[in-house]
Amino acid sequence: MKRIEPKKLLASLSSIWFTIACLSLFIVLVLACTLAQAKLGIYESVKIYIRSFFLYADVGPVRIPVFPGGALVGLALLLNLALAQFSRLEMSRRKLGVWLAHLGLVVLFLGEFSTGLFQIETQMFLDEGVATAHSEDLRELELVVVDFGEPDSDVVYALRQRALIAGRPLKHPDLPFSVEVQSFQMRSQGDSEYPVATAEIKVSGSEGDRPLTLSSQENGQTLNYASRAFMLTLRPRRHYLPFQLTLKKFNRKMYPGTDIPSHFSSQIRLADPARNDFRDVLISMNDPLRYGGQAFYQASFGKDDKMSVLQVVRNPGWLMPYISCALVLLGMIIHFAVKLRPALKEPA
Amino acid sequence: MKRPDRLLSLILPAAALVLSLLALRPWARPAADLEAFSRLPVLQGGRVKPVDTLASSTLLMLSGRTQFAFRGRRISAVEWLLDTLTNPAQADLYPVFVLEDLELRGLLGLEKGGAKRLSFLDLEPHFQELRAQLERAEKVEPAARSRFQSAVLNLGERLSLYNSLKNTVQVAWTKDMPKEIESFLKAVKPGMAALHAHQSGGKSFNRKALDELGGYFERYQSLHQAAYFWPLPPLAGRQEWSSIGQGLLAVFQETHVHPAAPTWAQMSLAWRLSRREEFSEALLRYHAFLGSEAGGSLRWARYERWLNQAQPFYLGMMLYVAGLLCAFASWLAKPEALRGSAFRILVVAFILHTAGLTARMIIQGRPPVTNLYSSAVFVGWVAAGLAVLLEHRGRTNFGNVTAGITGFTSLVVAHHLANQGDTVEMMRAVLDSNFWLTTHVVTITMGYGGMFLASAFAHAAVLRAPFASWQDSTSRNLASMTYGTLCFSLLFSFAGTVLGGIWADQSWGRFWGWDPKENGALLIVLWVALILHARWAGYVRERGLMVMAIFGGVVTSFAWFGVNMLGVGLHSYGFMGKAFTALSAFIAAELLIMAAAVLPNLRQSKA
Repeated sequence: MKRIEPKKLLASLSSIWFTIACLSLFIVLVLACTLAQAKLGIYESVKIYIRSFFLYADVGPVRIPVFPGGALVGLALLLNLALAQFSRLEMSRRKLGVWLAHLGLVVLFLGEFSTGLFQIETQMFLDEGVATAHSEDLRELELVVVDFGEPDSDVVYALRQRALIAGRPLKHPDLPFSVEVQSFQMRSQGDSEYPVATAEIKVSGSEGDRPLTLSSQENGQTLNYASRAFMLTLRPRRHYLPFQLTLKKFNRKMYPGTDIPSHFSSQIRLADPARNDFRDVLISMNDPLRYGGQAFYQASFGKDDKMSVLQVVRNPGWLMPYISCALVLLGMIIHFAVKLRPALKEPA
Repeated sequence: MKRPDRLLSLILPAAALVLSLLALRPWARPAADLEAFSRLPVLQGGRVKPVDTLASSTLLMLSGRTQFAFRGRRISAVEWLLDTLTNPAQADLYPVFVLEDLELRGLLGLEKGGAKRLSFLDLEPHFQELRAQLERAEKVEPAARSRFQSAVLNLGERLSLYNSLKNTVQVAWTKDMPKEIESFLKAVKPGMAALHAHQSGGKSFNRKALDELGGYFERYQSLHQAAYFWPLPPLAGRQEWSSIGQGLLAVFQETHVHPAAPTWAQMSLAWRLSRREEFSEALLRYHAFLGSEAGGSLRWARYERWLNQAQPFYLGMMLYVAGLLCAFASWLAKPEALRGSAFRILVVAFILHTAGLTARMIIQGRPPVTNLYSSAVFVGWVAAGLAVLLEHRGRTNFGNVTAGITGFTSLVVAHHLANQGDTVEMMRAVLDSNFWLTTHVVTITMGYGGMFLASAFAHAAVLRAPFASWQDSTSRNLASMTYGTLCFSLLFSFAGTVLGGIWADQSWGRFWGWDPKENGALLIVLWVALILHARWAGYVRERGLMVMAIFGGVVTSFAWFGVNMLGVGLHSYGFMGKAFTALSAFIAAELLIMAAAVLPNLRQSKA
């Protein structure tokens, strides 16, 4: 067996050949992801081709990796870029543009990785006049037990989707009963990116043996236990905010004589007692509210314009693309200016 | 340069310009009344436009043409529109529904080689069958529809548009609109009195008067709902345009109808009865009214009508061809003089191209790229502009050739894209941001333009290859122009792509969504980056660079058009179907050229 020499390995990992190979693979992946979208939709295609280390094929019962995925190619390019930068490119004024552009690309890649890892996208449904302090993740569900027993407030117990495994009893010290998931099924629904689920829940010690059937598309089931009222629901997972938003008015404008919308906006009251911040904000298309480390975007509307839907995004790396864009553009302009100036000066 | 040569290089451009101006047939102007009518402003599709634009774009949507022959006479779009609005008996005879789908023709029992365009009357006997097919097609998901079903739906849409038009100025088949308005106004007073009596609970009220007024009310409500365009301008101090129906119903709020509604009624009657003098008089009155009440819209419409007539893109297209021919000729004889002429002609073509682009921006109040049509115009503008600039610097004649080819091709493509209706469309709310349209869409389209120019240079180099060496000075010159253009393209494609991401982050909170259009742009960036890296490392030389640049054109055409056709495939109908075929043919041809460019290499290396 031949031993791999570290120096040679380093040389090939930092070579332009490797860059070109990675770029080619990436082109293939992006093209495949684009073509697949007609059938799978964006979310699934991106998961398979871009946010993955390998593409798999099923050979009988075995899944074998057959092609590198976007994450792997991205990492390889990043490695290649970093190695090439330090081992091949000299640090000189002539190469300043290349340095800047490549640095910008590194920031861009890191930003996309951070988005893949840390970004949380949820939706906030605001009914006119109703103060709301939570957003919903439509891709994930939670099983909720509401205890109506307390006099001035309802107590909510939430179980995350990943805890809903058939056959495992779940117990909370403050709940008089334990719940056991007997079955849990999720399926995607037509064109929608969002799944629907049904679950059968057995409540220990409840009268009768019939399990409760819950569906994410229906309201919950009520339950009387030891003469206290409870409700069990399967609903999109809620993310709670430390402040409240209230929709005062949703505005929509159309181009006259058409049904093409020309403008949407939501007038919203922000109430944040912790920071003593109480004020009106206007969220419109192309003009989000950035508050408390998240951004709130006008996404949709409904209920005869009595409801506004906001997209809530928490992405700690949201500034990275901006920095990257500036760096790469500056780098390219410098580099091309250096490269092309002699050509343009050439006498005709 | 010798004196006769210098003369030649001035005379040729002048002759080209004069010939193209003559091709616009400036003497064939429409009759004065039709001309005045075509300048009237109306509101349609969310914007104020002249009747001229409305008539041509609507006729284009129905028939694929902007005029047609009927019983040996040429009918212009405006004439057709007037007949459709006022005189259905005549309009129903006009062959304006183009039917190309063979299966649909089969359904209607039409011969394969028979007339391509049918009239409303030809179609009427098949309505029952068509309706049944329409109901079936509507139940199928858009993506799953067969070609035949799409064709049926498309015909259904065109028939309903035609029906809207007939019910815009008056309820279709109305004999005498001015008289109808008179009797409506007479019915208002007794009708309202009866209504008040009825509402206050009295038992004795004039039921007949009330019913009559109720009938009118419903009639004008439905006229308003059916209307294809709104012709009544806002009165002083108001903002909204209104339909004829609304204008008549205004009597209930303001005690009088919109003052322009009776004028439209008079024009309608006069036109239907072919009383051209009365028609002209009514028009004159209406122009005077507009002048005092809505001068802004009138001037606006007149400006757009003027632009429609001047046809800067059509002129530009002809001059690009003329310049191209001159540039070719310069390789055969009188290289200096003809190259100079070609350059001058192309500069004029580019100026016209620029003028058309600017005029569109002024009309729309938007940056140059807002839809597929305008992107084609702009791609050509960027490519031709860069080529002219490079020709000015390098004087190789290849700048001339590529300017002519890219300018002409893009305007032809734009011309074919215009078949989908009015090319100045309103932007949906998501896109309603001049800042982002400018920074993202325009930048990325500049990247497309650069890429196509690089591809054009590469074509020139590849076609030249069998007759010359890859290493001679012209070849190297071409290579350096291609290289420079690729750098331009990478810069703008990258900037446009990332700015698109930033726009998305600003608008709906995700920087990069991996949607088809974004991916298309990314593919261009990746491909150009790959070319340039291969070049910098010396893996490819002149020939390799050129072959890769040609493929860059393929990638760009995919990013530009291909991604709009995802899932379209061979089942589509009409425009997208044709575009799909055209794009496939283009890609196949380019791949062949690339293969041909690589082949001689094998021969040489064997030798």
